[in-house]
Amino acid sequence: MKFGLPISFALHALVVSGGVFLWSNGIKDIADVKIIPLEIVTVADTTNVMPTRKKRPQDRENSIDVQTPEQQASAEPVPPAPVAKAVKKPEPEKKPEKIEPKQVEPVAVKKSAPKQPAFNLDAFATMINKSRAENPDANVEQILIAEAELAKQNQNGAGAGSELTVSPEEYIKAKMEPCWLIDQGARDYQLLRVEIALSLNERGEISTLNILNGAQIIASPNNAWRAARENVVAALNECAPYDGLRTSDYNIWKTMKLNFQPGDT
Amino acid sequence: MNEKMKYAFLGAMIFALSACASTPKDMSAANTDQQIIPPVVTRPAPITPVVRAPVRELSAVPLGPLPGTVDDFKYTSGEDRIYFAYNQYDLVPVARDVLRRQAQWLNMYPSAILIVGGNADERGTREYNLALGARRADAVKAFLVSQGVAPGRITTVSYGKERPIDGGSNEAAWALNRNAHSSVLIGGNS
Amino acid sequence: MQHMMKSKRINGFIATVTAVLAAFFFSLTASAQLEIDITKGNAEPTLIAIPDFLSAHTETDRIAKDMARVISDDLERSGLFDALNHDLFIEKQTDINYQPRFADWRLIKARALVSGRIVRESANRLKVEFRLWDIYGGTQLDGIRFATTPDNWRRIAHKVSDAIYKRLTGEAGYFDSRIVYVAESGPKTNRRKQLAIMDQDGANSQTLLAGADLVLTPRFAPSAQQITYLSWETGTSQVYLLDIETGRRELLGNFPNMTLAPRFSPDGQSLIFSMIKRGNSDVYVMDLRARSTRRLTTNSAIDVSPSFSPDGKKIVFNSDRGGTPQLYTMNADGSNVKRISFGEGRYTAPNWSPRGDLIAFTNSHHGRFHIGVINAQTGRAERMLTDSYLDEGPTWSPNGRVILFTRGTRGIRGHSEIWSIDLTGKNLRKVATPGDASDPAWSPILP
Repeated sequence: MKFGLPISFALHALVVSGGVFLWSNGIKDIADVKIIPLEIVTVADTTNVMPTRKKRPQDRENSIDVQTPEQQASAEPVPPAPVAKAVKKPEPEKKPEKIEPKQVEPVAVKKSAPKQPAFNLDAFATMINKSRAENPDANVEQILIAEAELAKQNQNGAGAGSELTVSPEEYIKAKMEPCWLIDQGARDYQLLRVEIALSLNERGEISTLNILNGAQIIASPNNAWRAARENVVAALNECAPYDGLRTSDYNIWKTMKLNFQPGDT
Repeated sequence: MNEKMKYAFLGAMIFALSACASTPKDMSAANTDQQIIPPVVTRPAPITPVVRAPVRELSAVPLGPLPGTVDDFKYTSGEDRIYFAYNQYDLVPVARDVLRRQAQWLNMYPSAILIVGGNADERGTREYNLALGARRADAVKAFLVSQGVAPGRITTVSYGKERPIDGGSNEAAWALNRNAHSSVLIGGNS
Repeated sequence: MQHMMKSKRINGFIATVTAVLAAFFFSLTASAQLEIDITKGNAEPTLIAIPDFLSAHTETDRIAKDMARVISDDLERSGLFDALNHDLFIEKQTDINYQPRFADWRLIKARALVSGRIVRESANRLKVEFRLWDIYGGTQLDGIRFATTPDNWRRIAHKVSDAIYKRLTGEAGYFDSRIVYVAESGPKTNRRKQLAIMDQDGANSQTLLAGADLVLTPRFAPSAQQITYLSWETGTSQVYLLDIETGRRELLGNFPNMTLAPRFSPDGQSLIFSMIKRGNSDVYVMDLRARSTRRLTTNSAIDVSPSFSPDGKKIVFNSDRGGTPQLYTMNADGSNVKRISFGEGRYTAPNWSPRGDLIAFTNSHHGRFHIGVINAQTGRAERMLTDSYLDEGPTWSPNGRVILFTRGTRGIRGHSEIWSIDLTGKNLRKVATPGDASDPAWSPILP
């Protein structure tokens, strides 16, 4: 009798919290459904953003093709950050000497007309294929899984459709998949969560990129977490600009919180 | 000693001719300079991998090895290897019969010293097979001791899967390679 | 009765609270900024550019090229990196002390750039410098200078590879390390097995110990100076110690019994092994200083292949006490024995990862052999990484990411080879050896 009330209270609290949990999920589901107007699906092959397989030769050809010299130049001005961490203690040497990094003049300025890259794309493709062939991924099962995965992606492709049909969420997810490299051999790699606050300008270019759990990452004894953080930042930079988003929805995707955490493969 | 070696060599020659089998080098007798095994065993010890018919029937030579010699052991026992089932070390009835004859011989020549080498087939991992080979060798020793052979006369060693007598990768080869091999180190006449 | 009344009133109260909470939660959800959980990426290798090192002297030109090649090969073999073909490079750096033109490297999708140079200080002394650049971040990630004699250039290249690997993966590298193994020759029925050693990439292979015809299961001490192995020199299998610098060789303990399956403890102070008494193998540990031996298992079954956890507190070993060979763990004093393998087939040859998280093993099932890994703490999350006629005897890279093992092929003319696989089950490769080879054991990172 003495414990009746507390027990009852505890049970009710459990039910309530469960209810809140379920309810909130339900609400979220509805919101998700709203964002994807399934009825407007117009399959436009040209605009479909498929999660492409990373680094096939064709992909590289495409991405190289679209780069004009002007774009190169505009991408150029990287502030020549003075190299702060120039020297680490060399293991075999007793006394580390400093490699004095000379102050660098902006290379872009120095070189007024960036030369057109003299790419032989066929050679590129052969080289990549060759280097792939030299790493015989003899685990046939792995390959089969990869193929199955690709097939699945193709089936799901309708969701990751063109600018007109796809939600910002689907778009970003599809965009990140080929760019985000996950080191599956890292210790506890599925726990290495990286939270990013990303703001974009209206052209989908990155204006700010902040790591929200940076302190946690640095404090962790698992250094692979830092590498995971760098992989995320590199992926976001490499995939930019995010110009497949509807400009009318700019308010929605102007700032985003992105949580990178490898799921089950 | 010299005399004995001569006879042993003669016996070996006769045996090699009669058995006419390409015999793998028996490793318990194989020698490197570091080994402590007496030089008696450095001569080729002709041992057929498996003798389906008793050696005596095959022999076209009326003379057997000199009684009590190293070669007489196998000659008299009929077989110097017994075989095991996959991952087993218990002695099947056929093996017991062979070992009884080995024990008889050993009891006849009480100064003879025996090495029992345990072997396993290639379908196991190295260290486990060494342990398994030790089990097999010890099963032979235990049986011989039960037949009255003094335990101090029998040394056991395991070669795991390192000394196959058939290099094949099939049931027949594996069956041959799961064995315990008895070899007399010092004959019974010394 | 009274209680029921009370609880009814509380029910009503709680219902109200629920509604309020839910409304609050809803408003939160509705007004929150766009939040996206990204769970899918890919496991492709990172593209890295490693131009030939710069050389200001004709004497070092060749080394400058070779170093870049050795580093590229190291990193590519890890499966985590893909070194871009030099023909793609747009920028040709002429001074590594200038910041690279990141846009040029971005164009060819390089995420990292390694630029290095060799300075010849004298005929007998080189300085090797390298810088590692983050192409997208536009920053230098690392920069190290080494000094060495010219004939030592391969080790410097491996050190550079290790530094790059460490900086880009967050985990220690494993390239400046060696592999001791058994070199095999002759027909299967009269096989000659000798100790040999080579660099981790297969270079500089040499026989360690000539003479003995049957030598097995060499393993490195944590110092990388000493190895322990098995030899039949006395007529039976015995554990030996060999100092690979001095060549000094020692029979361990001179036990009257057969000893086998030796491995060092992580601190190098003791050796764990199996000893066979009356056909029964049990696990023993020997203090190498005091030369005192302690028995750890007393089971009448086969107890073999012990391997310490990297903290030295636990031991995994192989036993058939349950009827078939399975894996068990116990405390370093032999207490608290637990079976950890529960899959199908036979489990043998366990090896605790130096990272501590996994135990590698050999599994055989339906006539096939697999190298697998299992979570060392839970005994769960078992993954089979390989499949062949005969895979056995896993050994870990010093960083616990790569596994070497012996692969045997069928038949009278069957071969024995050393292969490697990543712990993810990807990146299966054959390790080049001069001839047939088996029983690889990876050294720690060299000092």
